[in-house]
Amino acid sequence: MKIDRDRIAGVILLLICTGLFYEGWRYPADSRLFPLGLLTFLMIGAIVMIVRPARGLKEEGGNPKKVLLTTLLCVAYVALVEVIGFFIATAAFMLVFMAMMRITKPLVYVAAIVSVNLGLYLLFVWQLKVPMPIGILFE
Amino acid sequence: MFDGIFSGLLAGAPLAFQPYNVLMCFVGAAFGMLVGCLPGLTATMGIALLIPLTFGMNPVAALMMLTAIHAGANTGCSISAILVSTPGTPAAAATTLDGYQLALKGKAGYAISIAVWGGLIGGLFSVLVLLFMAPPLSLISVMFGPVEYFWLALFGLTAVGSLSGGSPLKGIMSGAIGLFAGTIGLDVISGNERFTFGILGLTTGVGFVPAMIGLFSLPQVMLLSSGTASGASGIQQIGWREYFVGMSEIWKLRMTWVRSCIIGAIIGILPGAGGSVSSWLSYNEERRFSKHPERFGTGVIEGVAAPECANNADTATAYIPLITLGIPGSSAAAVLLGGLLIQGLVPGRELFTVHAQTTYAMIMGLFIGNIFVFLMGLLGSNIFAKALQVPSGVLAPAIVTLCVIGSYALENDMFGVYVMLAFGVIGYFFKILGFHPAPAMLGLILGPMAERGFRHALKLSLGDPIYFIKNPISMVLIALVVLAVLSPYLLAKWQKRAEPGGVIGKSEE
Repeated sequence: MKIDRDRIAGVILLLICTGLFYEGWRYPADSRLFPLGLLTFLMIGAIVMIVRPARGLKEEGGNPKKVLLTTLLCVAYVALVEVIGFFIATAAFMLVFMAMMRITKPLVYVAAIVSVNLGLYLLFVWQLKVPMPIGILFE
Repeated sequence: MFDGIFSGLLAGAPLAFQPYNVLMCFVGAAFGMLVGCLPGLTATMGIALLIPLTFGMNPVAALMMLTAIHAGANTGCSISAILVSTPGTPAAAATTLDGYQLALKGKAGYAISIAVWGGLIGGLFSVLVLLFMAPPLSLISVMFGPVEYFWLALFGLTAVGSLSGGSPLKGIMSGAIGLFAGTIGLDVISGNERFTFGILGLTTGVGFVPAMIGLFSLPQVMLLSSGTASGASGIQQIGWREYFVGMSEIWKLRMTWVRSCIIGAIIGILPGAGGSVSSWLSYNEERRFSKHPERFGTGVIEGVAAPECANNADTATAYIPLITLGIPGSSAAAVLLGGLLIQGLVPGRELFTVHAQTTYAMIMGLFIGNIFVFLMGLLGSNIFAKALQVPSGVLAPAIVTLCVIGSYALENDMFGVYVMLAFGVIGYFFKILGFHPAPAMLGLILGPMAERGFRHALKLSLGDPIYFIKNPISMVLIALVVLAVLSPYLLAKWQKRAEPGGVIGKSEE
């Protein structure tokens, strides 16, 4: 198998490091020594990864589609928090997530959303007095 | 020397026994057992998730809670290992072999009780080792100058990088990535902004707590979301009667305890190796010493006792290099380092002089935590077993919300949440490429110390390279760095003697 995960990753890593190296070169000498040294090491490592990719990686990556979906969901959640506030966004997020995970019973939805929101509220707002984002919509 | 320790304990005990602190210890132990019991959640993750909570707490409560999580997770993991043959954390992987077999024979309660007892014995032994080794060891840290700190950081990183399982090169690369991330932001020495690309939030650097939360928790969530939505089924019901294992049973296993405690304690001190290394090693050694090695894997109680004792024995000793030199002995200890720094506690001699009361209170807390875990394990395993039935479809989003609010709460700023997300994605790629997250996180935390040491030493050396290696401590540390890089190969050889073709497996969670 010519095209291994390691090889692709190595190439990408090399490109990123080169870009960062280029950026770091502009800094004064004593400031750039450490980061550029690290980048050099990483670039060598990346080349090793390209030349000798690890064979048969057993690392489970899960289902790529699901993972992508989950990631997008999380990003959407974070964006939503700023718009409609933390607790409503949390409820919406959990709803969609659980639906994606094929939870069927409505009782589970209600129980989960209520207990998580309540628990987080008690812990962070009531106990720790953290001011939660209310959301642009409501400000 | 002993009166220093004794008086320290006397000073720390009143702090440790304050009701609030004891309560937090209990909460931590319960949370730890829960996290440990649920496959897919690790001790390191549990500690990382609750660190934001410790912000407003007093140092003793914070440390008691966080260390109790660690202790709890190491015992909780055996519950799922025995009941459903799935280790709650990698540290219980060895326990599944014989534990599940015992459960199938209807002896789940017996197995769990031995596991819990083993956990108590190992845990207490570990705390005693910590108590007697850490104070004298902390004296060494006073002799450290900039050069030594640089080599120390390098040793920590190479050790963690090599021993965390997987390819040593990738482990050290992971550390380098973390070190690099630590350079992002304002360079304190020269005032120059590095790699911020105009993003305001990055000026103060990448906050290590949100990065930690993202790196360890989000990839787990992504994996959880790929699994089935249903909870574990077919869980054996545990009867009350089976819990009360007689003292003669415990005494019969005494050689097992001795062997596993020693193995666990030593592995714990080694930076990087932790959890599953000690449990696998003790399982293998137990098999070697057994009169009937062929019975292992069919439901031999030593196959449960040994790994469970060992993986609890490495918990507290992992704090030895942590509190004396700032080098964590395991992933969870590395996260604990973050917890310490948040409280303003800097590892080193100071912890035993200026902050002695807090430190000894924490050690007392370790005793208390182990006892809580023991009691909960014996009396409450049924409850934790029920938790196994929570579908991952509920667990996953709940964890995400906790990550989000935790990252936000630190500075009441959404930027922390963005950092958390970014590192979550990085953490996922780490996972599928075989990079371990612990070295990266360590690099992030130790980066500033390493760079400061390097640059100060550079200035002090006045261009003389010999300056970096002439100090005896430096030479010892350099030797340790070399040893650390070679250690995976050495450990593999040791394992081969017990089991040909055996692998270290994933060492850390």
